[in-house]
Amino acid sequence: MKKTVLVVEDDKYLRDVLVEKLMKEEFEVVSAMDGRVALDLTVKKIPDIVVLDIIVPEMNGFDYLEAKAKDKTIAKIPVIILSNLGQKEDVERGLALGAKDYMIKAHFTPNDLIAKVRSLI
Amino acid sequence: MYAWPIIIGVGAIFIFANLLWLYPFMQDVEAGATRYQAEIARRVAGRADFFVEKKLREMGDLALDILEAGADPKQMPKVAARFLGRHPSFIAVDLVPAAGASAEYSVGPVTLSNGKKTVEITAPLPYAPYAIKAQVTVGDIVGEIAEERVGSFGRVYVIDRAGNIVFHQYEGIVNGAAASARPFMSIEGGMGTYANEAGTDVTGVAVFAPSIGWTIVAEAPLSEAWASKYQAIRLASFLMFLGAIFVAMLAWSFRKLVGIAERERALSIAKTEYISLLAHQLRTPLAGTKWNLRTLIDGDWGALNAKQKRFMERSYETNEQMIVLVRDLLDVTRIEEGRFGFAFKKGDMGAFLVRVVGDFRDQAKRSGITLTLKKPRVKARMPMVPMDEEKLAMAVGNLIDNAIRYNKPSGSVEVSFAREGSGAVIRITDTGVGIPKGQERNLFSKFFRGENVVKMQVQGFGLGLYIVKNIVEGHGGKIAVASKEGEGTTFTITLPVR
Repeated sequence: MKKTVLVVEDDKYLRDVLVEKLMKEEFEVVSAMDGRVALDLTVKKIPDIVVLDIIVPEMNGFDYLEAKAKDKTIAKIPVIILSNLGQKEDVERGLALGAKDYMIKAHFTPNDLIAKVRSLI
Repeated sequence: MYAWPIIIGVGAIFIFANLLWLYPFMQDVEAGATRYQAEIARRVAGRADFFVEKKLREMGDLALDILEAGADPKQMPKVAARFLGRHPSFIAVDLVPAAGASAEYSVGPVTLSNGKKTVEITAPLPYAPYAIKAQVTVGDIVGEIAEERVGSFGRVYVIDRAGNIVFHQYEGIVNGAAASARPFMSIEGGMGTYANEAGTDVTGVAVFAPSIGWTIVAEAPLSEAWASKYQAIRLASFLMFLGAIFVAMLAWSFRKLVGIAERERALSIAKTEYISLLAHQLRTPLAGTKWNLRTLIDGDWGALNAKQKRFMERSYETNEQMIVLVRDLLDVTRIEEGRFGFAFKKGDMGAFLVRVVGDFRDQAKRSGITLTLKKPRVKARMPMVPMDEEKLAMAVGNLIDNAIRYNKPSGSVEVSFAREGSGAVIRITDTGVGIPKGQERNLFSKFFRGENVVKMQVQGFGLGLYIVKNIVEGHGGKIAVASKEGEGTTFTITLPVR
């Protein structure tokens, strides 16, 4: 059975290549352009893993993590933060909010991300 | 802010510290002045009493003469004339019928008689129903009182039985007039401050002379008696004034400092947020390009021919350079803001270098460079070195990356490490283009690039070595470079082993 990945990314350029690559790697992909839709989809679809951008409209990634942690049905779903915010404070905050990993987009290739996703589900 | 409580506190301490010495000092001055005046008043009172007692003794002699003459009023003019001849201070003596059976003498008020100040002393004549009434000049005692001084401007005077001021030496005071209210008028003696009849604020001490029935007052103007007190108040006021200026200056500079600090903080936050946002904005398209190119090169969307792949690889490398530049700019910003933030942990140098060198094996292979990690010849155990592995890996990695990129075709890069003295030493030696003579000292400056390297058209921005130096120094270490242009370069990092 295919594993489901929720991709939360507002940049079309990045989202398209990420979604295509994940589908090519035999994942079921759901994508959201903002944090609120992402939270709805997380509850409705119960993905196996979430790839989360931080700077997204409506509800940013940190707020999404806080809201997700409060909902017991989805709290355990692993999250990889994939962001271009790379300051030490951002990384520490993301990990403190329960993210499994924090990857800076420009410093990783899609293959690196796939490897990380596979290691977590 | 905390500024105002601090300033008010400092001001209060200033005032309190001044009062702490001023108040006891003032009390001391007042007590000293009172003691001094009391001493004078007591001395004069003693003399006034002695004067009366002497006159009474002389009247005692007269009484004997009168008794010898049979206590006969008819004999009195003769006796009196003889007595007055011998005692010039007596103006008149008379024998009067005793009013009642008083055994006490009495001294009357001071009166003016023929231009002389006199008192009337009445003493009972023993064994006869008469009393002796004598008019006595008080010139002697007045002379003594007139010479008394309390300080330079103070005087001694008398308030007589009738409550009149007499023998007052102050100008403008009418002797013989009733004394105005004084704090000690109701009692026989005392002290206090008041305005005297001339309108001068004075302090007075009064001592009652019981024999003569006078109140002797030693009086001095406050301006003199309390001069040192006033001086002290002036000094304290001056000190408090200085204190106020000091506190005001403190407040002013404090406010200014706080203002500057707040502005700088706001500016620094704004700058950091701006750089952070800029980095984010730059990275997004760079990441998109990177991912698209990578998936294309990897053949995810269909195989490319060799030429297509080669061109794609070049684009990819250029894009990578931009990503590195953004990362370096962020690091430089953090270094300059002092927020680079090291997290030290003791680590095994050997294992650390195996990992870092391992990360560059692919790159070296692609560039045709031989990359080796040389372990210490002596199998002595390397001590654990306190390091921030992530940042130190960035520094060592940067040096290895440079050594590969600025190398000659088929060149080599050797990384070695050893314990030397009290430090752990890492050496990165290459067979590359080297650094032109005289340019070594600028090597670790921001945006510096060697002249030969610029000509080679190798991509770079000159931030790497600046960051490397800061990381090494952040570890309390040192970095040194030895190079010969055209032959190669050795970077030596020495880290303290604690």
